Amino acid sequence: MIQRPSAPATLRLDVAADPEWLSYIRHCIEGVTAHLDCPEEDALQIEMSVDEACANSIDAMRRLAISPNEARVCVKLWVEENQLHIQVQDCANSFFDAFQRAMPISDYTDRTQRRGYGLQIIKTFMDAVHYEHCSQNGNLLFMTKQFAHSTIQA
Amino acid sequence: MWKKFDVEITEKDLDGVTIHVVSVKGAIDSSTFQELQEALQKLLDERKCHILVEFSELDYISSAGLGVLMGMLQEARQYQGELKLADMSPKIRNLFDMLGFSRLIRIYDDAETAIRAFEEDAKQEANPNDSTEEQY
Repeated sequence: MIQRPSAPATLRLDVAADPEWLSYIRHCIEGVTAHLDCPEEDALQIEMSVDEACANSIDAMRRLAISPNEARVCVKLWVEENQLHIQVQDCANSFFDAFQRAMPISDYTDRTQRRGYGLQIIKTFMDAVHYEHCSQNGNLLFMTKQFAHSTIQA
Repeated sequence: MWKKFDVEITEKDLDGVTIHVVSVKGAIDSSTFQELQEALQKLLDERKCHILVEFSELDYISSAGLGVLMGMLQEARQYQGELKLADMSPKIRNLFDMLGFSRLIRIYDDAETAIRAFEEDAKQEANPNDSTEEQY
């Protein structure tokens, strides 16, 4: 008897901490959301959230001047029960305080600042966002998008 | 890696105002936003403060790009200028709307309409008492 694997199939992208890679990551996310037949608005929100998370990771690692061999961003995507789960991992310093401070964008958001919208956008666009930091795994940002339709196939 | 971003600036002399049309192509993200920032900053430093950013060939804009536009909009207004946006794809327009930036920056369906709006602004500035509204 063939046993069904318990863990869902996962797509993993492991790239150098170089902002030049962001466009490739976005193209990949676009491909995934098209494959999942995501509504246009959801697809755009997922693309932007992943881009912002990766841009933050890359920026943080570049500021720390972490060696190119270690300075990597790892993006994992998997689907479970009409939810797309995304994990973004890096080895920069903890951003727990920034994560706690970031509020979803609302009518009261100050839109005159030049930087610092990334986490706010992620919290606005994704249905659930969770953050962890530990010395072994570095920063782990988990994002979940729930789909209204029930035709999603991994 | 392919060239992901390009910016081209043209000048348009109208009656009473010179507009600089900044046409952006590709994606504005963390790897490219500085190019846009430098181009806009150069215009503002030269007090060329009536700027139309034309987005017909823009595929993507990240928060870094939105931040540049908001910063430059404020600077242009400090010099009695204005920064307007035009020709966005539905995807980019949707993004501005979803994040509420379209309430703060003037967005036009196409460049021609935006240029006409600049002309109207210039006329209004030259003759602040003139109004197209019916006077009672």
